Amino acid sequence: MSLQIKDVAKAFARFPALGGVSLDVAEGEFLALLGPSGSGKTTLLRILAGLERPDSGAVDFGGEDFLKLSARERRVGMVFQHYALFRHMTVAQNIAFGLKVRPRSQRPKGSAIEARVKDLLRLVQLEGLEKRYPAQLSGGQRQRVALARALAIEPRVLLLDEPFGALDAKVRRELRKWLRHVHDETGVTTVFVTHDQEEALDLADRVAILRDGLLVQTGAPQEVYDNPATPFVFDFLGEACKLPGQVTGERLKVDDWETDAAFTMDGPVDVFFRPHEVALEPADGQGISARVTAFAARGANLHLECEAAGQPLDLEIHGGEARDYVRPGALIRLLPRRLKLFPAERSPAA
Amino acid sequence: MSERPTIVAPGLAPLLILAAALVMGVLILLPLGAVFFQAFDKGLAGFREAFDQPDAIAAIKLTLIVAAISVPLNAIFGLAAAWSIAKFEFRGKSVLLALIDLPFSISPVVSGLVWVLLFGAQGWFGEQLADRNIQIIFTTTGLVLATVLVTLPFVARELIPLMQEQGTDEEAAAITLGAGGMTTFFRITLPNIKWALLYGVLLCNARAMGEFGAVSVVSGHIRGLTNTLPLHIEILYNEYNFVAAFAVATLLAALGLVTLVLKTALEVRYAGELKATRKH
Repeated sequence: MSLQIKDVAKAFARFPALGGVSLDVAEGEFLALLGPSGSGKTTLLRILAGLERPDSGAVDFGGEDFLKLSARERRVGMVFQHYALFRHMTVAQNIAFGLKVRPRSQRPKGSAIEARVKDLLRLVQLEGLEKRYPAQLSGGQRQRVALARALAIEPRVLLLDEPFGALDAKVRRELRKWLRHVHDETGVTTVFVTHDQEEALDLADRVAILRDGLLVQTGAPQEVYDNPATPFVFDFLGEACKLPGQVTGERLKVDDWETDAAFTMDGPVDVFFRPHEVALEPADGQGISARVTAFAARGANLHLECEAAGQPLDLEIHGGEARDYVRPGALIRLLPRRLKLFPAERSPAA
Repeated sequence: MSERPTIVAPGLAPLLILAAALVMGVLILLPLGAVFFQAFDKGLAGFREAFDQPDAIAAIKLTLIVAAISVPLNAIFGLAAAWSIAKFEFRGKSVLLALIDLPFSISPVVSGLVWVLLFGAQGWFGEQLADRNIQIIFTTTGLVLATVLVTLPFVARELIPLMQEQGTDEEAAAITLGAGGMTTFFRITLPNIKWALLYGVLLCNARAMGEFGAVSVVSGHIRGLTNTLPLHIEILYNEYNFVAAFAVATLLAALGLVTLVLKTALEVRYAGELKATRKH
């Protein structure tokens, strides 16, 4: 059953949080809602959970009007950034909670609940910790308990609100892999909120990028990374280098360098490329003229600071591409392997 | 800035500690000791005699009754107020917060007088009440009203910072897991604040039993009828019956000490849950 979000808008007392968002989530899909803080992604998630009510719009789940159901009737599993574990209950009691509060007629037998808790503990790899209290667990373990608790009610949709936001980088990467594994095992439709583009690109089947309460772009991770729809998306999905350019008759000119451009609108453009997608050329070679200002080895890569077309650029060059003419103060040329052009955001007078 | 500890003179610390101990001794321990000393001035018999009086027994009973009504009322009010302030957004929240603090900032005498002004014989509703034969001032009802007003902030003040800190995530989680409002309150919200609630009730109770000013105004000092313990002590004292006055005062002092011990025990045991900022 798919989840259909139609024109959902929500304003809080002083600011609009969502300005009409439409989005479909397919059954079994793993969708990431990606955006900077204040983009409305958490508000959208809370609307799906039934914890917030939209001002307008519709949310439909397999033909059922989700907005008519209360949070407790929707049977969605929600995982919060700060775990929200019941601090006075053990791990096992936390996981069993959703089953124990069911009306008597729908409540599984005690032994069935116990068996389910055991299964879930195995799934989240926390066997043996069932008698611990949340305060006695590490952050990563707490979040796994929270996930097991959400999965216990056999949710129709799993919603995760920055689930790894409070964890350190290493644990975060481990849990990311593991979450994907859990998703593949349970097959539950999952919507995942994050501001971490790496996490979203790494984990999700599809990424929906939000900005200021509006959907900017949706697509598979590679698709949005390769074809960002706006300068914002390009910038948000990874490190970006930006230079001013000019397009005339499908020819792009950046500083003194010209190349063919599949861009039909003539006029000033912003030229975007990734700092690691640049080849270095000697001063008499091809590419944009640049002066090296600093140069340092960073592990396997070289960090190169230079100035091109009056703009400072930070580049990441693979160690194997270092050339002996790259020295501080030297003139070199930069040949971007991949370019993305957007109409210039600066005023024409500037 | 340097990272050296900010000790001005090494010899100063012991001196300051001594000064603090001296102040504590003179201002707190000495008077407390005097209460017990005076109470037993005429031996155990004199002490016991103070409690053989029907007026003393009536005062103890009345104090217990007033506390038994006011404390639960304020516990329920405090819980409801803290719950709404900490877990919901609504207009006028800051006004409610300020109102809850009001009894702390106005004189207890005023807290008593307002009831006289409202329900006394010459008060706003005095005539209507008299017509219906309802008396509030100079009765237990008046005592309860005055006590409730004075002790209103204790429970709420204890719970609000804690509940604000705990946020609403756990309740939200419980609801998405299928729990109803009552289940969520009794199985998630209440267990999370039970120690702070107990702590607030203890403080509220100590004040309810010990309140003098507001109660004095509405009581009318009718012996054996509207005299609570603090008022009874005052009467005994004014009659130069020092032994009896101090003997009864030991009860209140003991109540204070028991509260202190329980409060400290709670603080030690549930430091984490009670760490929310204190304002009184």
